[in-house]
Amino acid sequence: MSRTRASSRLLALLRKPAFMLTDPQIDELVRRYSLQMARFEESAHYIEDQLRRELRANAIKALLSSRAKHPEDLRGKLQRKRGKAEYVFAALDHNIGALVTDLAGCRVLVYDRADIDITSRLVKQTCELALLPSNEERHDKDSGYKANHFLVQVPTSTSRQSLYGTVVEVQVTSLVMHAFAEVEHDILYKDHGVPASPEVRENVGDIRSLSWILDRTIGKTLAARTREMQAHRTTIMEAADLRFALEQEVGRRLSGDFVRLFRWLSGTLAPPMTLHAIHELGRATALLEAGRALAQKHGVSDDDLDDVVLFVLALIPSYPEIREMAAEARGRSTALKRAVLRIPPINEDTP
Amino acid sequence: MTRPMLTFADIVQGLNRFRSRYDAIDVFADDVRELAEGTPVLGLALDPQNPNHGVFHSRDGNAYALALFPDRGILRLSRLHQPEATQAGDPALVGAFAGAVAGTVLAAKNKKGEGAAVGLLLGLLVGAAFEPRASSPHAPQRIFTMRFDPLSREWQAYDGGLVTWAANELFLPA
Repeated sequence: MSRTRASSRLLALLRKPAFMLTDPQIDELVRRYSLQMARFEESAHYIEDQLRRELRANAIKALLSSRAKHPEDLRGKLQRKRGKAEYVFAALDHNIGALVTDLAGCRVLVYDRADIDITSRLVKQTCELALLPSNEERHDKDSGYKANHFLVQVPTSTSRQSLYGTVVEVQVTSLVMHAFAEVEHDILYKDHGVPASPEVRENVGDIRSLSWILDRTIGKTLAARTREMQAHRTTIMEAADLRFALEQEVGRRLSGDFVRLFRWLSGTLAPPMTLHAIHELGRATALLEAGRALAQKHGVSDDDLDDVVLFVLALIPSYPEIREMAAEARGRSTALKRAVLRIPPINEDTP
Repeated sequence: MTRPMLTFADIVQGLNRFRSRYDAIDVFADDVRELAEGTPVLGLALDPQNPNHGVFHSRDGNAYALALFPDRGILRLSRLHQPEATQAGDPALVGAFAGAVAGTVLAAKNKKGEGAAVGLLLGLLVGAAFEPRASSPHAPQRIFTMRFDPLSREWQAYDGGLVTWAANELFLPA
């Protein structure tokens, strides 16, 4: 052993506080914790169940898990923190859960990063915060990592008296951020005495950036999808709305008598008329193609074809009554009327 | 000049216009002569459990379920797949039905307002979910708006300016 290493070990020994946990004390704490572990496990399950119900009621998609700390992980933690002033054997022996606050843990991993804050509010509404300092921590780092941690306790209102007051750590973050944090933690912080090389560190940095992009993209995609769904459920009140909705879907301007199309759909689809309901008949592009095929099959003149005509022709096989509407349509014989009446009647007994 | 009105026979004719493709027909109660004039409906047996319901036996020998919707002003006639328990002639039942009819007719008049659909006798056929995706829970129900021509005494497709209004007012969500 070199002189330098010997003197640093001596310095460390001199710095060792008098109250530092000894190995036999750690053994004893771990042994006693093992006997109580079932209580921590049940407490974590109890909080998980509460949160699962609440998230489901609020339609928040999330993965939940809970666990009690493994005794060997507790041993490792006590060994790492044995020098801290508050890690006194007597205090730990009296109530280990008040000092080691992650003995029971519940993890909530939301799909959408935007749900982290909503879920955090639900955690505070659903659970009792533990009467401990730092019972709420918010991480919102420049790197994009975002997570909220809470220390909650099993409430006195529960029927499980043996669980009263047990502290459970609740972590709320996104699925992607959790995956990244796990990788980073295992490589950079639990290095087992082998520091990560610059190359590995650079890769971890790349994973961090990609995670941030993925997390943001998931959020943006889900938000866009929600807007789409809302648009689909919005009632189409007039011909202009119908035209706009179909043009948005097809991605180009559409031609034809949309006032007539709107009227015919109003008289054939049970209200309210929504894009969602129209989609049940088929996607706009598919309807246009089907209409064109039918027009060709029955020799509808190209001069009579526009987008509305194609939509209407596509609907005839499933809604033959449209022929009657066309026959009754007042005014001059329009292209739409001519085209529809070119299609021969379908047996009305066929549903 | 008396305004043209529907009879129960006309309503049955409307329901059967596309044979069995549609299950029910909805009309405004104030357009139905027997209801608007408060005269007895021949062939109607009342439901002892519900003054708004009954069974109408048409001349062609078929039976149809009758339902009044006093809050909407609508009379619905639908195909009857199973015979229902009915009773005829009980004065208390007849009185309760007459009260329901009066309320439904009044609601229909209020709904239509002055002059909104003067001279138009509208009906709405209501069928099953739309093909080809009838199995989808979101598939819209099939409907068909019609108007009754009092001269030919036949129903015709209606695609006039009131079609959206008629569909919204006559359609009864499940």
